[in-house]
Amino acid sequence: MKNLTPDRWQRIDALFDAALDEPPERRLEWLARACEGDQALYDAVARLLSKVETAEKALGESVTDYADTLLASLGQEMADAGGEGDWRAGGTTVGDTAAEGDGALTVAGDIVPGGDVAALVAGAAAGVRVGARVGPYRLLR
Amino acid sequence: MATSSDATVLLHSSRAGDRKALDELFSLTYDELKRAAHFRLGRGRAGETLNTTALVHEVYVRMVDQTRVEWADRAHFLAIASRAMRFVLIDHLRARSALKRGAAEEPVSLDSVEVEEAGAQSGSDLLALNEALERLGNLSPRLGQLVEYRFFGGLTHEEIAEVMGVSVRTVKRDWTRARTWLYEMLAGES
Repeated sequence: MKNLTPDRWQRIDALFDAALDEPPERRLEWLARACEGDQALYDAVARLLSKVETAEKALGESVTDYADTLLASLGQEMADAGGEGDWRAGGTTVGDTAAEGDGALTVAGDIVPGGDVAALVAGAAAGVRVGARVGPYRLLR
Repeated sequence: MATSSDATVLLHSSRAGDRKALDELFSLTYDELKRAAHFRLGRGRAGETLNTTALVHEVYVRMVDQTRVEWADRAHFLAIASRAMRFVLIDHLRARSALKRGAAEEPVSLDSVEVEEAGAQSGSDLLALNEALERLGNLSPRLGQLVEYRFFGGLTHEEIAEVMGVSVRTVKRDWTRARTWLYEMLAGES
């Protein structure tokens, strides 16, 4: 079914949708009547009907099902990659990070040293205006 | 990050049809998802998997003022976050792929991918799925959106029904169709 045109796709999909309303054991019989002798159309829809369960097993319900092994490795990669770069942060969020990191920080909210953020050194200081870019920074608990 | 008040205002505006607010909220959510992934996974939790559904819900709690939203607002935000989650993942995989291949990155071809019942074995598999989703979305924007909500955001059938304004039964049916089409496209037959 390569090179599907939108019209052809819609026709196949409409029949696929309607066929799913039928009991599994009657779907092909219903489809044959609906296709009125168009063998290529019948074959295309029948192929989809035959793949419903396989697709469910292969893709699951979410990317977490489909790519669990990959996401496990991505988790560590994204954790490592997030320490640098252009970050937006408000005072309370910076406090929430409770982590150390080097990088550039765009201040999107008021930072109150000794308040929301225990210590923000090497860049940011009291009075940094909202929207200012500071860095490199180091956040300490 | 924007305050929960900012995000909540943007959420209300975007639901009212403000495209600029939608774009801004998407951008903020994208950033927040990356931050959440970094900090959730970076606290000595070696080996912890990237749980996209949990991240999407986490940024909702962090970004939106819970006292000022209704069920429909929540569903709308989760839909936006699902799309952002898709792009966070795909952008990361593309960057990783480019890094591995150097400057001569080649686009992933669906023809070169064998879909495995065991699921995605590599970043290429997920990039291929994303390409298949692009193709499905071009043929049917509605099915493309549904896959984003369900597959990348982990939204429930009920949440998707709220966002799309259809019945739960329709969502379940459409999900079955969309998933089968995706599989067929990944298998290189469509």
